[in-house]
Amino acid sequence: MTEGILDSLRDICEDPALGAVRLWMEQHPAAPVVGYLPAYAPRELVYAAGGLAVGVWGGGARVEIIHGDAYYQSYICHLPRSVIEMAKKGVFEGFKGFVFPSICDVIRNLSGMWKLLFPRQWASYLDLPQNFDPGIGGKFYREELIRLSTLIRGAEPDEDYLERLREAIILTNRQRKALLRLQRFRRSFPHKAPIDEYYYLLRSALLLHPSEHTGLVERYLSAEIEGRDAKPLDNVRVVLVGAFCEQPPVGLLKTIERAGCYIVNDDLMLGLCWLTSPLREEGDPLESLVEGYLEKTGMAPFKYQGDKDRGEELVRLVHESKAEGVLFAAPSFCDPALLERPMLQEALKKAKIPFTSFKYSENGCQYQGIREMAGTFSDSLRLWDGEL
Amino acid sequence: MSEDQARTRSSKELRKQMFDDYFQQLCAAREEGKKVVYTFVPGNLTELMLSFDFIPVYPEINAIQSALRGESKAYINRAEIHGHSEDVCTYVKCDVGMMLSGNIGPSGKPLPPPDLLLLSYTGCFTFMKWFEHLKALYDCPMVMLHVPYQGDGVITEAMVSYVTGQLEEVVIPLMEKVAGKKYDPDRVRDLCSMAAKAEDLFVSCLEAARNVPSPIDGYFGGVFEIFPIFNAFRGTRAAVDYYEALLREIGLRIDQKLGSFTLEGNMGEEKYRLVVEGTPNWTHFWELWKMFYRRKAVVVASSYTRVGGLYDLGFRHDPESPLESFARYCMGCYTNLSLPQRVELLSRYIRDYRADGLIVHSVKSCNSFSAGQLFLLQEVEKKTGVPCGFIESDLVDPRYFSHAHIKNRLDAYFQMIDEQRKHG
Repeated sequence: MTEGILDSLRDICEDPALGAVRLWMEQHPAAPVVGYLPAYAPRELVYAAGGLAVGVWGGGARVEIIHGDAYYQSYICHLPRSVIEMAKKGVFEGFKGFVFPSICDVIRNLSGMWKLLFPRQWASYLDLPQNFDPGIGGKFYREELIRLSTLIRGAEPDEDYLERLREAIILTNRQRKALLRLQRFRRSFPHKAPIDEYYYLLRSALLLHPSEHTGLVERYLSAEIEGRDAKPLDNVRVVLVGAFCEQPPVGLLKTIERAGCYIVNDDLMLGLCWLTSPLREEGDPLESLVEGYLEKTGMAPFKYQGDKDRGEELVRLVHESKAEGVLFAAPSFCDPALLERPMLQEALKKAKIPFTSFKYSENGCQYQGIREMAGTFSDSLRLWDGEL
Repeated sequence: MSEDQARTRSSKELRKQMFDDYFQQLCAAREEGKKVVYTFVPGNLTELMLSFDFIPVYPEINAIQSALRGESKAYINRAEIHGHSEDVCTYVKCDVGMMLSGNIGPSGKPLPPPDLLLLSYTGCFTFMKWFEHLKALYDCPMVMLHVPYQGDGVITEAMVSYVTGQLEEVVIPLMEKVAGKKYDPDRVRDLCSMAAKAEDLFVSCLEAARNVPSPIDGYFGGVFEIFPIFNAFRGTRAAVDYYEALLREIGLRIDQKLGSFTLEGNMGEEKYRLVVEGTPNWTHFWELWKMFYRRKAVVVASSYTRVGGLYDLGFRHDPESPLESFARYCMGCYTNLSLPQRVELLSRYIRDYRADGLIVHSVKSCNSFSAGQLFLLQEVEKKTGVPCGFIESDLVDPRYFSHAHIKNRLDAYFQMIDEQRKHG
């Protein structure tokens, strides 16, 4: 049963033409389809308008870059090239608009490029507040949500829309619950839910409507829990940090595991499971989204944490995941991930948690170096008690 | 210094005096019980800091000075050994390396550590990570002022209210605590009033470049023009004196048709009038400037001289509503503009300053400027019809400066302008 699901999810995720999205558009011709860039957007606003929110986390290795490189110097990360390439090839034809969340300068500037390159779609920069006081940052974020809802549905939110927003919150709460269950399951039994399966289950959430996707994850979990007869390997357990935006190729994730490291916690597609507890399902749904962002989101490199120490949070995460080490895996030229790496490493050193680091690009296909690095790391933990 | 005394001195003398006084004051800060605030140039709240008698320190300027003194390479190496990636902003690495090496300032004495880190989060995402690093190095409070981006090319009331809310509820209360004194609105008003005077004069200096020949270089020479207004002096009498002196000198240069000031005297006749987009390279600043003026190219306007505020578009600090004007100032800085606004502004400079073309200087380190610059170049070319050229290096990492590469690009670019002139 799971094989059928997984084949289908793999096809959905690896289709550079986004066939699953096109199919949905054919089935819902009048519904708004809205793309959103990493790492977090309140996609409930789109579902409430009867639409589909499509997470555009880059084109991966299957998108051949012909036009994209003409827009970016070699020292800019790969994600915006593949996104522009897909747009130029017409992959996003029929999308009503795009949301560009405030996570880095590259995505910020891409929002402006989009306005000029694709004037038939609206392009909206979403300023996620860095002030977490409900009366200041919360008030501002509410205004942002109203502005965004108005773009999505073409009119300011009314009572009917707010009612549907409540329903959308219930829908995404259920989806997050399923995804968290998946993550917990993998944390306990990484050998039973291989990394590629786990990854496709997560990534397909960017492309499918939650009403369809949640059921697939639930079916996968019940089938797995019923018993896949897989034996655990003598792998070490690691946390993967830095892959919240541009995604590593699935082959790279598999290489890490084959080299002896079970990835038992990660920040892959961070925004999907960023909320640490469910959104409030009753009362004002806009306030629920505001409260969710201000009070229920976890740590992220693009979020101001005030006096909270991100290093300490990572150490806690490592312990909570019963991990033995950390793999820092960031895309080349990713400022948020690479700039915070030294601080996190310092915290790990103090806590005597071993780590190693590498960079990748979404279209990379040579994994030999990373296999050796991950293999050595795994050996050092298993054989020499973390001595590198 | 009296106004009469200031009037008899050149802008260069005044600048040197301001610079010396500032570093002397900074080095004596601890002994004299003065508090020091580290903050950033874009969206700086200088008037507010001065009203509390804080001495502002700008880490970008420390990095620039290290590069001009030839010390940035060693500092960057130090930071990379400390674990920083080769891919990230070299301002950050230079600054962190400088701290790790004793935080020695231009006077040869250590700079005082901060009493407060004021994270004015304007126009650059790296700022937050940069100050997180400093927070880890220094035991002092940090406060964030989040400045929304002009994604739609406008400043809305919601954006203004968000920034003023942070100033009233978060930034000012913490400043009061650190300074040990209350917020003084009258003093802030006076400082804003003085700032507006300097801003008027500054705009007159910048716009003098509309003359042919231009009496100033608005990019390389512009570094001297922006110095007080982007730095710790906005809101002071000294800044007004400086700009008055500069404007007098510019007036003489226009009358005598001296052209712009260069390292080797007056340029006189100019052959190419350019607009430049992007931050300068600081490790080879003088060398790069020579590559322009020795080809008789003068920069008449640049985006870099607008990173600390777009005064030529009309913004002035407003003594009647200082907090709102701080908010509008922060949101109006060049790097906080959307890409379509940047295209529009550069195209406007090309028209207003009668420029022959645009040169984009792209730096590896700065995504805020660099991401989208190739597209920006194409759009400006489309809008204005002038030839646009592209050169690349870095901010303060000398490893990324290639003289031959830039020279070839510039020569080809100037040939292109010549050919276009020949063929109408």
